[in-house]
Amino acid sequence: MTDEGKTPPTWGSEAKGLANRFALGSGVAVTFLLFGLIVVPALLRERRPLARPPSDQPAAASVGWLDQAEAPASKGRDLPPVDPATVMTASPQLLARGEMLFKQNCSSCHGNSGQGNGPAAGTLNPRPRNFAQPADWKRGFHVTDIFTTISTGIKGTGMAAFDFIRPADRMALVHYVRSLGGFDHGAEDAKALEALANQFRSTGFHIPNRIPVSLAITKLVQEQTTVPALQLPPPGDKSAAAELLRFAIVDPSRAARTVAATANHDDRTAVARAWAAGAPDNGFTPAVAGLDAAEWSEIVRALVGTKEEARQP
Amino acid sequence: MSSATFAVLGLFSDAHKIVDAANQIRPRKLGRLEAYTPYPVHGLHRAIGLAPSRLGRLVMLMGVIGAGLALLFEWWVSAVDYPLVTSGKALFSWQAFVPVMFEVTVLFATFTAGLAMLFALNKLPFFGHPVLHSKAIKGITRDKLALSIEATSEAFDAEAARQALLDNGAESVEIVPVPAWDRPLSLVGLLRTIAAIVAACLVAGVGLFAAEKLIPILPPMIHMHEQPKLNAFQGSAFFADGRGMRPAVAGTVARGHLPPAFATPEEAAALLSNPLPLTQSIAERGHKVFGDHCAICHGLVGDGVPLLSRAYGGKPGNFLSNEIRARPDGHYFGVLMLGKNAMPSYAADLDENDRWAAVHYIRILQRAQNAKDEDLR
Repeated sequence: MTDEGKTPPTWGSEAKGLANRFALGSGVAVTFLLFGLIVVPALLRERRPLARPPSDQPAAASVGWLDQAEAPASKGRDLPPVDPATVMTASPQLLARGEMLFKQNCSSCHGNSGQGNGPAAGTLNPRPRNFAQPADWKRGFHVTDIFTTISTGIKGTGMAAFDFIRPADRMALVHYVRSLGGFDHGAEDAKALEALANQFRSTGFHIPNRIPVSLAITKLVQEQTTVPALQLPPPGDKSAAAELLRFAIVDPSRAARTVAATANHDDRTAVARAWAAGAPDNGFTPAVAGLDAAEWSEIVRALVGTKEEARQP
Repeated sequence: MSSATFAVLGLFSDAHKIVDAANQIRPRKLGRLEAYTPYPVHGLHRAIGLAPSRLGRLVMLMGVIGAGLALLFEWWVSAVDYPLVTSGKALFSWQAFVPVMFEVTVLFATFTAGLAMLFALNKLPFFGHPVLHSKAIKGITRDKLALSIEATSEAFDAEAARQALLDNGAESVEIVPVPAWDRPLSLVGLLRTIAAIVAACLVAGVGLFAAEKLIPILPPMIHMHEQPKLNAFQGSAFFADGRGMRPAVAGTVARGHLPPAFATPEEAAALLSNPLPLTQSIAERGHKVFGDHCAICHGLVGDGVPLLSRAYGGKPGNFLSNEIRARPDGHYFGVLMLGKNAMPSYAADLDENDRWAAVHYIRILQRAQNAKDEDLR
């Protein structure tokens, strides 16, 4: 390279150089401002803890908790019994509360006006009860009947037990449900009413202890009873029973849990069916479904039998 | 001297003479020898001391590396990262990897050959060789043979080189200077280059588009535009039922998936027990499954208060009610698989282990909301 190609600086090249320096300087300044005013403060704020660690404060302090599942532990308490006079007969307050609870818990199936036509009613078989008509009530429509139905549900139908609602609130629902049907509900059974009133007089409602889910995981993992894996017969054992066991069990540790869960069963055919039903996740090969009764009884005797022998000291 | 010397060219007419001259001059180490001839001259490459090319060894090396990398990659993909048994073969079936290894070997080797030759060995780009600007170039491209002694350092003695060439039979000698136009890239030149590339892309794109649209596509050059086929879920008059897709034969069972051995959740409750031992990782798996699939309706703590409260009309089950807490594990499994009331089946979304992990997690939620007294300590 030679120096011949160089030209003396001109006004234009000076201006270009100045503009370049100005652009570079402002770029650096913008970068510093971005980091100084936005990125660094944001990072500092990130480091500040957002939530307090779980504590043993009562549940009242957990209002507005970010993660419902990690709310602090709270001790359970017993709500006192209520005076039957306040709940056994309908009152405007009870009906208003009943209407609110009905909208929350019932209307999705039974419909807003209780005609059994809520949005989820179509998926249910049998269809939800129409409260406006007196026909076909499974348990009857007396106060005590409806209270029982709300408390325990109806087996074989979509009606679940709403036992998590407080009894006094269930009574509000009972009165509201009865108010939805304009028909004559007939005379009440005085004896059953009195028994229900006594129940209100004597027992309150228990709100259980609550702990964070992470603590519940720790507790349940600790309480987990470990089941030792099944000892399969060694490969050298060529007896028919040994071959059968080695064929039937694909995962000895899972099979051990399955055997332990069903060991108290008396009926060996039922046990066999249960083991086949859960295969292969329960440690048995799916092919056990094809075994005949004699082979099954052989396997069940080998597994449950060895268990019983192991129990004896 | 106003400018540095690039090389000293000596012109010859006779191929024997240039080879002899090169053999004489080479031991004197005046500079790097180079020859420019209109046709190949046997022995000249040896006379100017041209070493055998390193390209072959380089290509060999990169080819072997390519084969090794391909083997490593295929082993990692099919035996480590995504182990999938194919046709009952072992996960690491090297025979099946050979075609890909071959391809990658060729890829590495050819790219090495091309790029290394151009950029590493030939030292391109080199815009405008100074010899092209010499007076002798006309002779070189016709009937003259040129031996050039190139300057390799500041101490290059052009006069000695000139004398050496004349002494060894050169007919004429020319001193080629370093060209003066060797200047750095300018902004205008850069912008012009970019503009030219953009213009070339535009012209090519518009041209291709126009060609696709205007030039008729006729058989046999139909560019795969016509393919007799049925897309998924497309109707077809060929079959009696009017469907293009064929339904599976009745009773078909997917490999590894047994149909459930129960018809109702109650039956599942009687038959099944949770085969997964509850560990921290299973609990986390259950948390994930529950959070992804269940919590939107059953609530984060399983209390049946949906996260999508009013958008969805149903009243989801409350896992904390005494009735549901009393149900055995198998019941939950059965409901997950068969659905219940307004709840659909999750058999297609969750495999067996996920379902059992979710059952564990429901039990955890129930414990958290119905804790024992000693849990509070």
